[in-house]
Amino acid sequence: MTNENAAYDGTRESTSGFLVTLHPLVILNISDHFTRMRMQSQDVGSSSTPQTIFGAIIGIQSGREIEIFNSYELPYKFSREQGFVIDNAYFLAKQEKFREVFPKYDLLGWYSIGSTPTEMDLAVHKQILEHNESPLFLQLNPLINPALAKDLPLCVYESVVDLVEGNGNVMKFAKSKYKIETGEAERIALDHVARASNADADRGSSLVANLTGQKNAIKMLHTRVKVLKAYIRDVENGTLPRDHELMRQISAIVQRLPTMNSLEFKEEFLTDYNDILLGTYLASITKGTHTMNELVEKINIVSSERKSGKGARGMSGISSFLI
Amino acid sequence: MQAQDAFKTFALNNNISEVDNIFAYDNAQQQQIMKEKPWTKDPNHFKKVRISAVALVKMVMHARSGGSIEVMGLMQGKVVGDQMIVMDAFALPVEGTETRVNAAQEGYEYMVDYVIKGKEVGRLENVIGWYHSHPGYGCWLSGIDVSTQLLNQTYQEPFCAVVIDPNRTISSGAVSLGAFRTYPESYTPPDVPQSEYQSIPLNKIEDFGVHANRYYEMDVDYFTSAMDKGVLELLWNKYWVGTLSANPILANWDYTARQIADLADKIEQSEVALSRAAPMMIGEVGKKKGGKGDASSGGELAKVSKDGCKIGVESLHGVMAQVLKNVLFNEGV
Repeated sequence: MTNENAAYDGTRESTSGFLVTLHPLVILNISDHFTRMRMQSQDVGSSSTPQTIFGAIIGIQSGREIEIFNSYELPYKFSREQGFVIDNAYFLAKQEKFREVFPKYDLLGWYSIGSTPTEMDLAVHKQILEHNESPLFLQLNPLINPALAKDLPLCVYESVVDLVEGNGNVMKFAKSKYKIETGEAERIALDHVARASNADADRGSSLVANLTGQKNAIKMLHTRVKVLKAYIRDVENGTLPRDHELMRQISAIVQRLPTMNSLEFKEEFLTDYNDILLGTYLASITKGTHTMNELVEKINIVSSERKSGKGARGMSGISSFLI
Repeated sequence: MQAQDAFKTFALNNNISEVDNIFAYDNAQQQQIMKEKPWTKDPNHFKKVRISAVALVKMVMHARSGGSIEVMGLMQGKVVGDQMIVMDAFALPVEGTETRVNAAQEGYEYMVDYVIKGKEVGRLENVIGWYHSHPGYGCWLSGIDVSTQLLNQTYQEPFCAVVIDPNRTISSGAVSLGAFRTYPESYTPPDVPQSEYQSIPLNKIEDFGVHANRYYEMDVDYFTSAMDKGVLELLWNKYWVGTLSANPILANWDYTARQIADLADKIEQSEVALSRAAPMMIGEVGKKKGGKGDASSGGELAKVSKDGCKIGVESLHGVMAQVLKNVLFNEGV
């Protein structure tokens, strides 16, 4: 039995039915923690302690739904005998602090780095068990080159306890599914950073920025649809085996078009549409009034300078008429 | 242990791309800067603020979570030349109302504790500034903010103030954030550069103009680590659905309504100003007083028209998104 197998069985899927949602902030936090660790330990050279990071993840759990909002770092000690030991006092103090700012957030689990869970991770997991009965384990794999990867280099595990004859209880990790959830503000902030770092976005009009965002999203949709199309064509040609489950899903997606075609929707849509056009119209009128007012004032100045005192009355007559 | 070995080779192979250098912390160098205090020589010493992705997301989310209440927090970072680098941010357990954000004693204790705790886990940076939110009324410093910042700049240098408007962030779809430093009291800026026009609600406008020449705004840009960059790109694979399914009109419903109400008040004010200006024109013909009337009445109207256009443009963006989706998902079939 190798190291990996003892702690993690790749074939096991979680059976608890937890719905895990993850906020991108957590991933950025871990990535930041990792980068910092790497930069700071650089000059220390090869120390005896293996480089890794630990941290706690916090969020809200209601029933089977778990939403991970934030995370923080945890210090640890390493010894050959005991492996990694999380600093418990620090952990408790920090949790207290977090509660002051985010009273709703509970401890949900912990995070670390690596490609698959190991026995060492299992040992840490047992330490966390003292604080949460069924903690989640978030593992970020820094070895994956993000440019080539298709999915986030991140896995969520939960622990399952197996009864093994003669051995008592054996704990193992089981992979759990997760999805990414972003709040509106979070999404905008992420977009902002992503765009700012991708290209020095020149501050053009807000229209361009807005439409670019839409364009990118639609492009993404387009590529996804293309993948589905290519798959169906391949199945038709017989190059790919027919997967009925997939076919049903594709058919379900296609069936959903048109998404919303009821009369009520059209009416609401048009109302919104017209309301906003009306609002824009009002704004244009205001702008026009302003331009007009400027013009009148300019005329007033010119005329009062030209015929100082004499004929200016006619012009001011116009200005009071317009107002 | 395999993973660890692999990781080491990874670190070697990728040997620390240049972008990541910003994440290193040189204590000696920072101490040196603290000793030299280059910022005491020139009130305009700091020109730029660089904010990390993590710090930005944390601040924006915290600001948004406050709703219409002002929230505040602190930023950790360091100084490089004339740039202030914000590495991380954390929330403080203090809430402000209106323009009265005040870090009380408990906030201070929290801060000290947080920073000390942070050092244990490799957050070596000291506090470099504070941030707070201005929900719905733009990024600038109020009188209280100026005095808070001035106090901090006296005792806590280097220090900067960041203001975030979560409401405008949502409505415009881009992060609305400003970074500021105040001038020392003895210093009067040579010429006050006309700051970019921003629309301020009527009930805040008095506070806005008064202190404008006591501080200056710094350029802000954002940075990410090489890994962040990859993660962000992969995240886009996930949250593009959010971009497409967001309905900005619905999300900003009440904010837009409030803006329109505010605009209505402003229009009324400008009407008063205009009708006052008109008789003056008749009385003062011949003299060059016309120019003055132009500034007060026309200026008022100009602001109204700018505000109006802003509301119009933002809601048009929302409608465009909706129309696009309608074409994509409803009419194309």
